Amino acid sequence: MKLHHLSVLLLTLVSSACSAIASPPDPTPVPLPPAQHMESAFQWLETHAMMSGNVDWTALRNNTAEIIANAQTTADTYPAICKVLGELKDGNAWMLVPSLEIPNFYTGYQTLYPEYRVIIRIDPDSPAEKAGLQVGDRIEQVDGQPPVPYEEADAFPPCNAREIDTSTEEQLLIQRNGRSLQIEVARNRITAGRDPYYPPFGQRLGEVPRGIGYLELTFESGNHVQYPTDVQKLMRNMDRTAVCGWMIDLRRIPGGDVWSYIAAVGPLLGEGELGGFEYSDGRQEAWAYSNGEVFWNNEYRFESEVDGSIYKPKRFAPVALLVSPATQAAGELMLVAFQGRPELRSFGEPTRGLPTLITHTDLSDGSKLLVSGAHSFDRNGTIYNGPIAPDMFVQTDWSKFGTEQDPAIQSALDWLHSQSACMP
Amino acid sequence: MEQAPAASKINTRLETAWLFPARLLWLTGSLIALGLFIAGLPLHAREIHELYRGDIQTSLTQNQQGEVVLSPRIGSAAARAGVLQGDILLAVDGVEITSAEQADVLLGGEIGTSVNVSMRTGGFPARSLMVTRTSEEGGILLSYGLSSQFAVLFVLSSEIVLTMLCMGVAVVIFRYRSDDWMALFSALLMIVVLTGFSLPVLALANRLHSGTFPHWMDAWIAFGFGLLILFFYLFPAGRFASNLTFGLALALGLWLALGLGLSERSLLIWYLPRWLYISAGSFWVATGAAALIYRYRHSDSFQRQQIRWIVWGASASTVGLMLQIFPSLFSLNASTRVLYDFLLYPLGQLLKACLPLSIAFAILRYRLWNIEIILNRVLVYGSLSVLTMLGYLGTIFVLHAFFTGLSNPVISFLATGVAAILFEPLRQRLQRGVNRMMYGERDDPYAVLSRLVRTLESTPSANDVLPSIAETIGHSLKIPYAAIWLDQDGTEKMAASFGTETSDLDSFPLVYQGETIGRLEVSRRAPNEDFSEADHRLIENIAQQAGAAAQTVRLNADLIRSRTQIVNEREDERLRMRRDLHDELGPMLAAQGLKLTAARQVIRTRPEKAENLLDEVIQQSQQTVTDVRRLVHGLRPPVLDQLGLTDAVRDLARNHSGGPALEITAPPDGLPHLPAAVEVNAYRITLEAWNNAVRHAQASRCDVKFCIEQEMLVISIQDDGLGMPEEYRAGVGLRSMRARAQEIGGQLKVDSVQPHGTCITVRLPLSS
Repeated sequence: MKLHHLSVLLLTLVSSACSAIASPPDPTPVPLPPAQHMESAFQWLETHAMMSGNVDWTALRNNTAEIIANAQTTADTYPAICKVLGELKDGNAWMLVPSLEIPNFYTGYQTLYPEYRVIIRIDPDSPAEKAGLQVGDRIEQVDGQPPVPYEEADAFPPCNAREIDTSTEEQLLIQRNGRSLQIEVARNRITAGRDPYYPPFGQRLGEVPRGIGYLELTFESGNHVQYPTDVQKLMRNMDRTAVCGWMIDLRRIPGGDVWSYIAAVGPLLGEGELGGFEYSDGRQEAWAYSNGEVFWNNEYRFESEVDGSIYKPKRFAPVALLVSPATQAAGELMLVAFQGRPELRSFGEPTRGLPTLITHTDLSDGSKLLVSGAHSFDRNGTIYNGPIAPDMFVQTDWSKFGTEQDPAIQSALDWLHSQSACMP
Repeated sequence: MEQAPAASKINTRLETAWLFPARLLWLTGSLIALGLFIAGLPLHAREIHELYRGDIQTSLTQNQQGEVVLSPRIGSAAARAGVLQGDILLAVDGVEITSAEQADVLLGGEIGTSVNVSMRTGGFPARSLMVTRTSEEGGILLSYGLSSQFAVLFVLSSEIVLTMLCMGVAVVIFRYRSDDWMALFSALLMIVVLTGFSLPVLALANRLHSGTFPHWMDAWIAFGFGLLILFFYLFPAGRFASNLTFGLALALGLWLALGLGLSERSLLIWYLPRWLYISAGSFWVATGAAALIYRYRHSDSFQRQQIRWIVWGASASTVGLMLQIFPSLFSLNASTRVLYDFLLYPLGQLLKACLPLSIAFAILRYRLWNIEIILNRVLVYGSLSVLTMLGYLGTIFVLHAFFTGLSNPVISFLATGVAAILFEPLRQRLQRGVNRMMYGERDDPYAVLSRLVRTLESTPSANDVLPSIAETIGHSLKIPYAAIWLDQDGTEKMAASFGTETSDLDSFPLVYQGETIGRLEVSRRAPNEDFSEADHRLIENIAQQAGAAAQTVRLNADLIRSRTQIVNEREDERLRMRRDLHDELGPMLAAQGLKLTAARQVIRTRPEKAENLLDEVIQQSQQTVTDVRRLVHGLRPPVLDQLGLTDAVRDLARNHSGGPALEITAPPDGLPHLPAAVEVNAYRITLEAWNNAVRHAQASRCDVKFCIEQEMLVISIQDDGLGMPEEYRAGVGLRSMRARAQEIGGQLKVDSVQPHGTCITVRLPLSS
C-alpha cells in the first residue's frame, strides 16, 4: 500500500505551501493632510455622535484653527480631537491610537463606578484572590494614593496625560468590617489574547413549591456559543421542578455582547421585538427574538447561536432584575430589553448610564474613534439615554453580594413571593 | 460446477410494480441535488470572485432613503484613505450610485488599481478620495501570479468536474441498470451526497437564510445522511446483514423523522448539544462501518473485492467531505483561506471523487452490475476531462508564475495549445490503462506471449506447464476462468484450470501439426459479453503456443508410460523365465543327477539296474531338451530363425487350414537382414492382424505386403472382412499391436477399405 507515501507527500506539500503563503508586505499608507484629517474626524463626530449636541461646533472650529495652522502630522491634531471627545460628555467616547497603546496589567478585581473604591468582583485564581481580597472590601489607598476616580481614569493616551504605572505589584490599603488591612496584589503583564471565560452562575432559592431561579449574568467575553448555551443549561436545571419566578442579576455586567445575552435569556424575554436603537437622525433599528435566534434590523446575529435545543420555561413566571451602578452598556441594554415584559420588576441602584450603541470609525492615520451612536428604546418605545433607575431602590451591600442577606436579593425575593405565580 | 457465478447471487432486481416509483424517486432526488447545485453555482462563483478580486474592503448597505452606506473594514485601505464609517456613497469614478449592487460592481476591479470614490459624511459637503483596490486573499494569489478569474475558474471547474463525473457514472447506471435497485441506490447516494452538499449548495442555503440553515435544508441533510448510513447497511446484497442492522435502520429512520417532527426549530439532530450531535452522528457512521465489516467477513472472495472497493471509496469520500466542511465552520484568515481554497478543498474534491470512481471500479473490475463496457468510455473521457482541465490550469499557473510579463490572452492561448497537444496521447494512454484494467493485456499480444514463453521457460517440471499456461491466460486477459482439456487415448481429460468456472464458456481448439490434441476453455468476462476480435486473435495465438506445449506434455507422459511398460514387461519376462527354469528344468536336472549317482553306485554290482537308470536319464534329458526349446521359443519364435520372416508368416497360415486365403508379397530379392526386435515385433503384429482377420472379420482373403521404404519396414495387412465399426473402441489386440509398434519407435494405422474390409499399415524403423 502506497497510502503511507501519499500521506507523507501531502504533508510535505501542505507544510511547504503553508510556509510559502505569507501575506505580501503592505505599503505604509499615507494619511490625509492634518487639516483634512481633523476635519473628517469632526464631521464624523458631529454626524454620528449621539451627544454631539453637547459641543459648540462653530466655536470649536474657530478655536482649533490655530492648531491646524501649525500641525505637521496628524498626531499634532490629537489635542483638538481629545477636546471634542471631552466636550461630548459621553462615557463611550474614546480615541485609540495603535502606536500609543498602553500595556495591560491584570490583577483580577473589579471596582465600583464612579469612585472605583468598592471591590465588587474577584476572578477565581487571580492575583487578587491569592492576595486575600474579598468582595465588599473598600480600597482606601493604592500605592499610598487614593484610587483614581472615573473622571481621571477613563481615558487612554493621547487624551489622558497621566503617567502609566508599569510596576509589577500594587500596595492596597483596604477597609473591611471597620478594620484597615494592607494587601499586596501582583500585577501580571498580559500580552494580547483572549479574555478568560466567566461562567454564568445559577442557583435555586426558596422552598420547593415557591422556588425561585437566581441567575447571575457574568461578563460575556466573546465565547459566543458557549455563553448562551451555559446560561440555558443553568435555567433548565433550575426549572427541573418548575420555578415560580426568576431573579436575574445584572449588577456586575461591565459590557459584553448584547446579542449573546439576549440569546441566553431569550426564553424569559419573549418572542418578537424587544426594543431597538435610535440614531441621532431618528433612524430606528429593532432587536427581535424569534425561535431562539436574535435579529438586529432584521439581520440574524451569529453571536446568538445556542448549541443544542432551546430551553423552554415550564410556565410563564415573574422576573425580578437586579441592577447597580456597575450595570453598564450591554447590561443596561438587557434591562431595556426586559422593559415592558409583563410581571417584571427591577431592584437596586441606578445604572451606569450608557444604554447605547457604540459606533466607531477608523481615521486615515490608523487611529480609531468610538462614541455612543444611538440611544436604546424598549418595546413600548421609551427612549433610554442615561442611567436607568430601578423600580425599587435598594442599596447594594457588596460584602453580602449573592448571599441570603443581600438586601437586593431579599427585596426581590419578597416581591416574587408576593406574585400570584408564587402564592402558596 | 454447480456453483453459480458470484455476481448472480446478489439479486436486487426490482419487481415490475416497483420499477416506476423507484425510478421516479431516483429522478426526483437527483434533480433536486442537481437543481440546488446549478442554482448555487453562480452564487458560489460570486463569493469566490468577491473574495479574490480587488475592492475597497467596505461593506455596502442601503438605508431607508435608498442611500448606499459605507462601512470600511477595520484597518482597510478605504479607512486609511479617509473613508469614514457611515459615509454616504455618492459616485464611483464619476458614475452616480443608485444601489448597493451597482456600487459593488463599480468598486470591484483588479488589485492595485485605483478608484475615485465620492461620498459625504452626514450633511457635510461631498468629498472625493482615490482608494486603491486591495484584497488580502487576492493579494496572496497575485503573489503567485494568479488572478481572481483563475480562482473562480479553478474552484468552479473542480466543482463541475466532480459533479459531471458523478452524473456520468450515475446516468450510465440509471440508463442500463435502473431495474436493479441497489445500483439505483448507489447512483442516488453519489449525487445526493456529493453534489447535494457541495459548496455551491451551501452558498445557496446561506443566501436563502442568513444565519442557520433553512429548515428544508435540514431535511435535505437528514435525507442524505440517512441515505449514506442505509447504503452501508445494505451494500452490496440489498438485504440487511442481520436483524440487528434492520433494527438499527428503523431506529435511524425514527431518529431522523423525530428530529424533523418534534422540534419547532426543525431538525432535532441539528440542535442537539454539539457533543451529542457529533457522537450520535459518529455512532451511526460506526454502525454503518460495522455492518460493512460484518458483511465483509461473511462473504466470498468475489463479494469481498466489490465491498473493498466501495468501502475505500465511501471512506475516502467521507474524509473528503469532512475536510471541506470542517474548516468552513471556522472563520479563516486570508492565508488559511487561500490554503483552504487551493489545497484543502481540491484535496477534498479528489477524495470525494473516490466514491463515484470506486463504484465505477466495482462495476468494471468486479462486474457489479454487468455494465462495464459503457462505463469504460465514461471513465476514459471523465478522467480525460479532469486531466485536460488540470493540464490547462497547471499551464496557466506555471506560465503566470515564471513569465510574469505575458498577458492573459497569450497565456490562455499557450495553455490551450498545451492542452490540445496533450489531449490525444493522453486519451490513448488512458484508454490503454482502462482497457488493461478491464481486459488485461488484450491490446498487447506480444507482451502476453512473451510472458507466456518466460513462464514456460521457468517452469521446473513438465507437470506445471499447463497450470501455468492457464494462469497466464486468466491473468493476462482478466477472465475469471480458463481450463485446458487434453485428448488422451480418445477420452478428454482436464489437464489444468484457473479460477472458478462460470456458465458462459468459449472453447478454442489446441492444434499441433494439424492434429487437434485438446481444447482451451475460457469463460467470458461477463455473461453477455462476447469476446471481441482482438480477444479472439490473442486467445487463438495463445492456443497455438499452448498446443505445442500441450503436445510436449502429452508426449512426455507417453514416454514415461511406455518406459514403465517396457520395464514391467521385462520384469514379467524374467519372472516367467525364472519360474520355468526353477520349477521345470531345475527339478528335472536334479532328478537326472540323482539317477546318475545311483547308476554309478550300482554299475559294478548290478549293471542292468544301472542300464535302466541311464535309459531313464537319457529319456529325461531328451525331455529337457524339448523343454529348453519350448522356453527359447517363448523368447523368440524359432521359426523366424529357421524360415525367415516371410516364410514364417506363410508357415503360420499353412497351419490354419480353412482360414482365409493368404497372399504374401515381398521384395523379389527378399528382405534384408532385420534387427531382431523388428523381426519379432513384425512377426507378432502380423500374427495378431491375421488372428483378427480369422477370428473377428470372417474374411475370405488376406493380403500381406512387406517392403522397405526409407529405412523402414512397411507391412500392410489388408482383409476383405467386415471392417471396423465407424467409432471403434480399440480392443486388446489392436492396442497390443500398437504398443508393439510404438515400443520400437514405429507407427500403426488402421483404415477402412471400400467396399468392406480393414487395412492395417505398420511402419517400423530399421535403425534404432
